[in-house]
This record gives sequence, C-alpha cells and structure tokens, in this order.
Amino acid sequence: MLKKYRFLNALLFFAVILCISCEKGEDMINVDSTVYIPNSGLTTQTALLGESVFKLGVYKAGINQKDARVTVNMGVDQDAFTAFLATNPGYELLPATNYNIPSAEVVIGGEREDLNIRLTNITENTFTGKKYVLPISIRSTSPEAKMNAEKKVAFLYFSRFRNAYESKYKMYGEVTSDAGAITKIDEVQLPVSVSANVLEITGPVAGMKVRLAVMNNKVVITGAPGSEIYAIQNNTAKGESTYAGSFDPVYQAYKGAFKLFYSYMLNGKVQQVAVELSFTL
Amino acid sequence: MYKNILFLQLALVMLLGYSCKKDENKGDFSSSANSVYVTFADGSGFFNPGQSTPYGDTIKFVFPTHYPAASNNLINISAMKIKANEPTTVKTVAGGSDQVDLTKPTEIIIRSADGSERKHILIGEIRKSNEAIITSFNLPAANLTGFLLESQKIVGLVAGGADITNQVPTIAISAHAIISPAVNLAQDFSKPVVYTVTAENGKSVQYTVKPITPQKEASGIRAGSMKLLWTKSLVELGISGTDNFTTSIAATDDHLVVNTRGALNKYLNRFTGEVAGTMNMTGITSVNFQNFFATSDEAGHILISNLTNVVGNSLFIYKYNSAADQAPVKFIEYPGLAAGQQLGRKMSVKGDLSKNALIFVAASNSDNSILRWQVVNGNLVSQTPTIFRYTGSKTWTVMADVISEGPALTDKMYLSAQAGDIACMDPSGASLSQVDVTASGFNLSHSLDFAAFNNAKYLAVVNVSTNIAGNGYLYNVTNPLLLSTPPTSADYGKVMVFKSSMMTTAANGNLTGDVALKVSKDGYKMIMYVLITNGSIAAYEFDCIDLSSIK
Repeated sequence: MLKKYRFLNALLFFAVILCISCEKGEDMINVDSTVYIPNSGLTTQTALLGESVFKLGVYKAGINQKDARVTVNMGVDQDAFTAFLATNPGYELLPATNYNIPSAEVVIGGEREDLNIRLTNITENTFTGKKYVLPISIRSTSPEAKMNAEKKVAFLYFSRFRNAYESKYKMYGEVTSDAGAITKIDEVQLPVSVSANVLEITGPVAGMKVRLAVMNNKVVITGAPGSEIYAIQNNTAKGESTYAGSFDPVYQAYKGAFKLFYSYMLNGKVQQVAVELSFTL
Repeated sequence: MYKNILFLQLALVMLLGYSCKKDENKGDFSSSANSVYVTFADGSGFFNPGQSTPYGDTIKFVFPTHYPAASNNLINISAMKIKANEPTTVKTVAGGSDQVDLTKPTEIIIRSADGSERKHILIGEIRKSNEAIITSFNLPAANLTGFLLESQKIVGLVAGGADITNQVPTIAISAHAIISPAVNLAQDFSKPVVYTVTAENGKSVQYTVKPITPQKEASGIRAGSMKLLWTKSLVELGISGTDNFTTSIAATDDHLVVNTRGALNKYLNRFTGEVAGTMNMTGITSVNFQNFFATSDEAGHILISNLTNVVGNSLFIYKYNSAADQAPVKFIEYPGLAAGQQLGRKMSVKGDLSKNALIFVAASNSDNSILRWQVVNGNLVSQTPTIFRYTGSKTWTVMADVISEGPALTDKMYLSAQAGDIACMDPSGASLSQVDVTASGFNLSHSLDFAAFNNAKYLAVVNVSTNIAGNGYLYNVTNPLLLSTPPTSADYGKVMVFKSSMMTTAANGNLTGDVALKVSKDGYKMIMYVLITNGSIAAYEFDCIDLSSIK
C-alpha cells in the first residue's frame, strides 16, 4: 500500500513539475509591449448590406510587462489618407454616413482585441463607380506600450457590398448526364453577391456562372449573363431548391445551407445537378 | 495522512492546470448592428431607413418611384417585410406576420443586442429622384469616350485627332431624368456644348461638354490605357479575304489606307474602321505588279510602290498628299534592280516628305541590302538610292522592312526581316540589339513601324504565327539596346509592352501582314494597327493622359 502511494506521489510530483514548466524561463524575459495592426496597409474588404460591425484586429506583442493591459486609441487618419492618395489616385474616403466608430479606445488584455467599426446605410449602390477606403490608424497607446510605426495604419478598401448569404460554402453533390453518368462535386465555393438576395457561384462547366436568387426559403436558379447558352434552370422534378439558415453575429452573415436542384444544357444534352452548399469557415 | 497529502497534491495540480489556461475570447457584441431593413415580400430588394441607429420615434423608409430604379416598374410598398439581423430582432406591435404596408404608419418593437426594447413608428415614402447626372458620354462615330468631371459638371473630350465637329453623342443619365438638347442631334464638340439634365423631381443641372487638355504622364503610354478601338475583317470592308493581295496599311491623320494589289485601295476612318472612300490609283496601276505596297510618313503623305523582280523593270513609288488625293505623282523611278533580287515587297518612310524624310526599301534575296532615298526640304536628293547592308548575324531572303528613328542619316534604324532579325542597327547597318525571336514567340516577322510618343520611342512589329493567324508586338525602344531583353527577364515587360491577341485568317499562303503606328497631333494618343492578310485589321489605342490631372 505504501509503495502504491509512493508511486502516486512520484507521478503527481512530475505532473506538478510539468505544469510549472509551461511558463518555464519566461519570467526571466522582458519584452516591451508593442501594438500593431496585423492587416495594415491596403486590404480589400466587402461591406454587408445595411448595418454591420467590421472588426479590425489589433495585436499586442511583448512579454512580462507589469501591466498586461494596454489601451490603444484608434481612429480615421485623414493625413494618412492624403499621403496614400499621392501614390494611389482614384480612391475616396468612405463617406461619414457609411460608418461610425462607437469607441475609439481598445483595451488589449491578451494578445488581440478588435476595433469595432459600424458600417452603416450600405446599399446595393453604395460602391458603384467608387473606390472607397477607410484609413484607420493607431493614434496613441498607453505609456507602457510602444507602437509599431510600420504597422499602424490599415487602409480598408471596400470594393463592393455583400449580402448576408455571401460566405464560404462547402459544395457537395453530383451532376448526372442524360446518359446516366455521374460526376461528383466536392469543392469550396466563394460566391459573389449580385444583389440583396442573389448570389453568383461557378457551375460545373468551366466558365459557367450560376445565379441563386433567395426568395424567402426558396431558391430560383438561373444562368448569369454570359452563361445563357447553358439554359440553366430549376429542376423541380428532382427537388425543390431551398435555403435555410439564420444570421450569425459572429460571422456577420447567414450561417446556413443551400439545397440546389437544377439542370443545364451541354452539347444539346440535359445535365442534372443536385448539390448542397453548406456554410464553412 | 497519505490520503490528505494526496488530496492536497491533486488540488494543487488542478489549480496549476487551470492557471495554465488562457483567457477565452467570449466575444463582444455590445456594438452589434441594431438596424432594421425592409425587403419585398419575396425577399428581393433591400432598403435601409433614411436614418442610422439609434433611431428616433419614427423610422422612415424612402423608396424610389420605380424598382429596379432604372426600370419602368412602379414600386409597390404595400406588402414589405421588416427585418433585422441577429441578435437584433423586430416585430410589429400588432403581432402576426412580419409583412407591413408601408403606405401606412405601422408600430413596431425593436429588441436590440443589449436586450432593450423600444417601440417605433414605421412609415414609407415614395419619393421622386433628385438625381440629374450624366453617367456616361460617348461619341460612337469617333470611337471616343468622354471623361466625366462630375465636381465641375464638365464632360471632357480628348479627341486624339478624331474629328468631333459633327457628332451625335450617346449619353447615359440618371434613371427617369431627361436631357436637352436631344441627344440624337449632331453637335460640334470642338466647342463647348451645354446639356441640361432634369431630374425626375424637376431639379436641373447643366453640364458642359468640351475639349480638355489634361497633363500627360511623364513618359510613354499610360499603363492600362490600351483599348481595342475596333477590328474589321477584310470581308466586312468589302475586300477579298482569300486572294492574298491585301498586304499593307498606311495611317494618316484621319484615315487608314488598306492596300490591295490590283484594286482601288480603300481608306477607312482610322478611328472607327468604317470605309471612308476609295483612292485614285492613277499612275501606279499602269506599271507591273501595281500597288504592291503602301506606307505613310508622319505628315500623312502616302507612298505606294509596285514590285519589280525582273532586271530592267523599274521600281516605281507614287506619292499622295492624302488618301483622297486625286492627283498622285510619280516620286521615284529606280531601274537599278540587281539580278536575283526583288524590290517593293516592303517599304517605310520616316519624317515628312514635304520637309525632310528617309525612304527605305529592303531588297529581297539581296544579302541584306537596304536602299535608302533622302528627302531634304521636300525634294528628293536623288532618284538613285544609297545602298548599304545590314551586317547582323542573320540573312533575310523573302522580304524585310527597315525604318529609322528620324529623318537624319545619323539616326538609328530598325529592321524586321523574313527570315532574319528584328533588330536595332546603327547608321552604318551594324546590329546594336536584337529580339530573341524564337523565345519571344515569333514565327516570322517582316513588317514594322516606329513612332516617338510622349518622350518615349516605340517599335511595332508583326508576327505571322501560322498560315491562319498572326498578331502584333509593341516594344518600348526608348533605350534601343534593351530590345535584346530576354522574355525570361523581370524587365521584359518594360520593353515588350503589348502583344495583341491572335487574329485568325483564311489561308494566308504568303504569310504576309503589316503594322502601322500613328500618333495623334495633340500627342495624347497612339494607335497601333495590325493587318494579317486574308484576315482582319485591328486598331489598338494607347494614351498618355495623366488621369489624376483631370479628376
């Protein structure tokens, strides 16, 4: 019995040592806190129709600072935009009616925190013929932290709107030819918004574009301009094309799935598609 | 005792283990969107309220009179759906359906992300548009697009040599707005023309359409400015697409001459490709192998040669002052063809024939012989050319084309030879640099043109890829030594600045074709024309407009 306890004691002792070792040596190191925007520079973004929250990540590097919390003040940087325009003509500042920043202060306790930017009043026409950019910079930090000057400004270029259905989808299904041959579909789709309720995806044939119009929970499938020759249409004989999902505040998009049944013509022969597109990360 | 110790140790391990966990990000939705929006009953459409969050007591939606806005479909807002994105929710106070009649006030409750609830009155208004904007302006008959300077209410035209004095425009304006004067009326756009655009609600805005003179890029063509201006098959132009006789083109200020051996040459509006007329071929049609080749100088004079392949028969070159010249003159008669050679398959001229110019004819099967005539003050110095040799590594046989950078005898020259080099040579004929024709994708080349454009120099050459296809290449030869830059070099794109897409042809048995470069008098635009025999002609426009100067 005593032997058994001794064995358990030894086992626990090693476990304690192992746990302690998860911080081993770090208490000897001291690196100043430096804050920066990982996605600094020019990045292309999309803006959800209506109102949404765009999260711009701010990071803090550094080890063993007395105060682990760093306060960062951020905001729209007009001077940076002026300098940006000198080498990037054609851009315009995102109109004030299309965004607001509820709180310019970001407190970073761990490694990362987000600046919440509320995009407002985004319509299907907001970005038509425009190259809107929102320059956000780190204005200042609390005294105990430094700022990485190379990564302190993010130029958020909003190239277009997106509807709530636009996100990354895993597409799985099959195409059945008129002769009964089956071709499996297993790929990732990155649809593009056409309007508030219409997405465009790629079809099974190279260059084919398919449009999905979500009418409440039903989906009307058509060929996109340029794909008319395929005569793409719903295939109700095989099933009703549907969409089911709900808005997820974390992803600022609907988290859901399409079930699609459609047909198209290829070389005069009818091809039938049955696929499911499921939200994925 | 041991049990107690064991218990304490276990507690310690759990405590330490827990302490190793990092803070989990629970997510912060305090700034979640609290907005509402409406769609049509079927889920289509998307309308934001007139104001952003936080809303007041009344939330008003403003709708256009038509939906889609540019359509003629009158909007119906009597059955709309009111929606919000999670975690915000919205419902009507009356309950039931989320469908609302926005022609009447409707009481709703919005539950925000923080859990608070508030009542609002929802109302819709159909409002006539106050938008009165010119959204695009084109002169189709001049193949010209206007620059929209919205802040100044100006539509700027950079004609680039095109005639804009009598043009019917194509103007796009805001949906349901009207414009006057009527767009189907021809106007003289070389002078300011004022258009009034009146919005659906009656608001009027005046726009002035006028020529503008923007700044130019520092050097050369503007990156991204290439525009396929037009392309025409020979058949579309009423020219045979199978007889192998259409082998050259010549560009003047207004026209592009299409030379078809044995036929009356047609000339086109060089900006649109439309046939503008037929040349008077008096003189050149009376000699052997009449109008075999045509070229033009910088001032728009045209030279047309015959072909001579028999010793004793002369090379004739006729000069036209323009494509419409009714009295062409015999400019050169040269009887000195050497045995075994041919003259007149290709020809180029550099300079202004009414001032100073050089005319080049590269002899076929001649051990690289080049004939050069000089024009000084509008006068041909001698009917007898100076003959010199290209001393590069390759020897051409079938034909070659030579041109100089300018009208001086000391100017550098360029050569495109079948089968031979595409090269830059010094005034003595020694090669200075050469294109790696194989690595660059050439099958054969025998035609070229050179132009100075916006402080840079450009060389265009043809590539007859197969007997059914060909295209054109454009090189920046501001530093001619860089012509040797291999395609594998990172700098190749700075030298070979444009390669046109392949143009297909009917069987092009003689593998002929031609290129021409024309710079507009105002210096803003340069067009490269490519002809592939038995196929088509394409016009590629480049400009040097500094777009930032016209914003």
